[in-house]
Amino acid sequence: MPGTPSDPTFAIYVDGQAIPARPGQTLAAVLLAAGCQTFRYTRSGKPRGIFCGMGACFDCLVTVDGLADQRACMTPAQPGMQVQTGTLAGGPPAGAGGGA
Amino acid sequence: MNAGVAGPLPAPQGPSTDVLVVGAGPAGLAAAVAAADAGLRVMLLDESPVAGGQYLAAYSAAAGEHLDSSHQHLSTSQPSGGSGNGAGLSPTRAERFGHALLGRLSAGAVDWRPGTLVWSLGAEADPAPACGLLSVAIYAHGATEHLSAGAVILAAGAREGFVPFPGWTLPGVMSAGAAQLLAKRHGLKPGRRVLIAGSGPLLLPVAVRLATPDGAGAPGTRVVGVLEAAHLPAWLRCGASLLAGVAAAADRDRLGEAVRYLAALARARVPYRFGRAVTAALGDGRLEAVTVARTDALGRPIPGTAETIPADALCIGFGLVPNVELAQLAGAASLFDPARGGWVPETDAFLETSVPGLFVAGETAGVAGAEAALSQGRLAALAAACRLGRVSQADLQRERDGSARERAAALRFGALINTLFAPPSGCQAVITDDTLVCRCEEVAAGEVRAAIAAGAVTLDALKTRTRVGQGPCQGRTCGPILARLIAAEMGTAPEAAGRFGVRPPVKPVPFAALASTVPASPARDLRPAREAGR
Repeated sequence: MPGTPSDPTFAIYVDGQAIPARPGQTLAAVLLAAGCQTFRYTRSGKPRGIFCGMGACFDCLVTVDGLADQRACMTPAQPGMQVQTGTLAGGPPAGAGGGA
Repeated sequence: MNAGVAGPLPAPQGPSTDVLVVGAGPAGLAAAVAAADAGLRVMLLDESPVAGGQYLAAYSAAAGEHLDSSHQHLSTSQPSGGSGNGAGLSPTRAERFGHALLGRLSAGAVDWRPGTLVWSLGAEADPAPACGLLSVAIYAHGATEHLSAGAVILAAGAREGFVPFPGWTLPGVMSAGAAQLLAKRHGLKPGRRVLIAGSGPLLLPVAVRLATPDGAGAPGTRVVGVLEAAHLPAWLRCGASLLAGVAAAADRDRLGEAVRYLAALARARVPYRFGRAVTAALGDGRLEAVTVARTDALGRPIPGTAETIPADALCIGFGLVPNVELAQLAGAASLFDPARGGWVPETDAFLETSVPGLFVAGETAGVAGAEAALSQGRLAALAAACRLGRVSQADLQRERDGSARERAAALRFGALINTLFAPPSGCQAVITDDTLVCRCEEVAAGEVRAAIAAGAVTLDALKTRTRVGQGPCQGRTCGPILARLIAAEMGTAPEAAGRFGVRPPVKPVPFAALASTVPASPARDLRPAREAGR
């Protein structure tokens, strides 16, 4: 049973979808483990994911519980956290390319 | 994001702590524990939710670790598999020492505050003449706080350096350090077919860790190659230097480590190639393939040698760049030293900067590795304790002399690595005009070259002209890249480009948090009663 000592996993909600997380995981680790490589789109519509992984580059920005521009690589996952990437649900903004 | 925010307010009364240490990697841990052992109140702050930095990540990763709220003590566990460097290799001396320091942290030796960003630092606006406190502004758990300390030790580590190429912003392309951290701390591999490229010995442990099969029987990851920009002679000079110093324990340790890594790569059948450069990352929305080429002696791709390698992950890194923004903000004098990774604060023999009471240790003092960091952290802490009257000049001198030889050897080796594996001068050739150089503001090299040609030959001039460095990373990623670009276009040295100016907050802090500051909370006094009463 999730959330118990024998099974400490819990759910976070990424663009409304429940995704399993473990204590000690950063949001970046939860997203990557769930197969989500794109964490956001830039103003020009280009996909971005984790890059420096240590809080310096600000590429992995997501919205966490309503607070914009949080670094997924530095944010510990907490039970019930609501994360918006805009990528699992909608894909790139209309008219934006997905390439580099 | 940077606009018009004042520096830290003076703390209302008395210092919040004796010593404030920024960064909980090897240098910061060593500094915090040594300062606590000298009888000082110590606050240890790190942006990361866990202690250990990059180097000790495997030791601080653990199911038992609570990451939830503020002001907790760390609980560490033995690293899984008994090794912090992956592949079942035995821990290095620095890893063993660092692990012991993490144990001291979990035993409550210092006031440890994870998830805490230090966003401003400076001398108190109106210091009482005798105390000379330093003001520190922090952001944690949604609020800012202003602290003061008798001494500050900056052990903020380093970040990775890069040589950009077309497509380097695609998901699936990440720093070698990111891949290392995800593997060490979370047991994650970046993809199924992984290519590793860049320069320097830091690529080796990453390759070994990613090439080692998971115990859990996870889907296999294959490291399809390690592409080293340097040519074979660089490695031979490195090996010769280690052999020459083989009588020293530290050099013996490093040589053994390198040999173990190379052997592990050979066992895993990972091809290791010298004189190679990535020329593009390809894919529709995510990485699918990488084009690589052989390079000439200057690091320029040789026409006709390009090949395309299918890969879903590309891990890149060109050495390390010291994180010195807080020292720069505080007004510490600095110099450009390529052998130490770039701009570094000037210090005296006890690691004190030109700002009284402000010390640096570890990669922030110049990139030289974990052994140097551990030694410097301890020395800086004792120097701070001496300044605060807890350690005598004679004892401080003894500490410095006793560890001087080992520290010098580590620094010498660091300088060799930083020099031999620096981005080669010809690497500019892969930065095509449509390559983004500023990832945040999506500014391409062509626009930057045009601005340089029009006279914007310093980083700050380029920033005004083209928006480079104006995004949330505040030029941390693009700064060194742009300095080399200016140097290449102008035929000058990289330091001639200067560096980006810094203003508080040195990393983005929500505006609402800047507006609502909570009163400074004094450090919890964790010293034994007899110490605290003195």
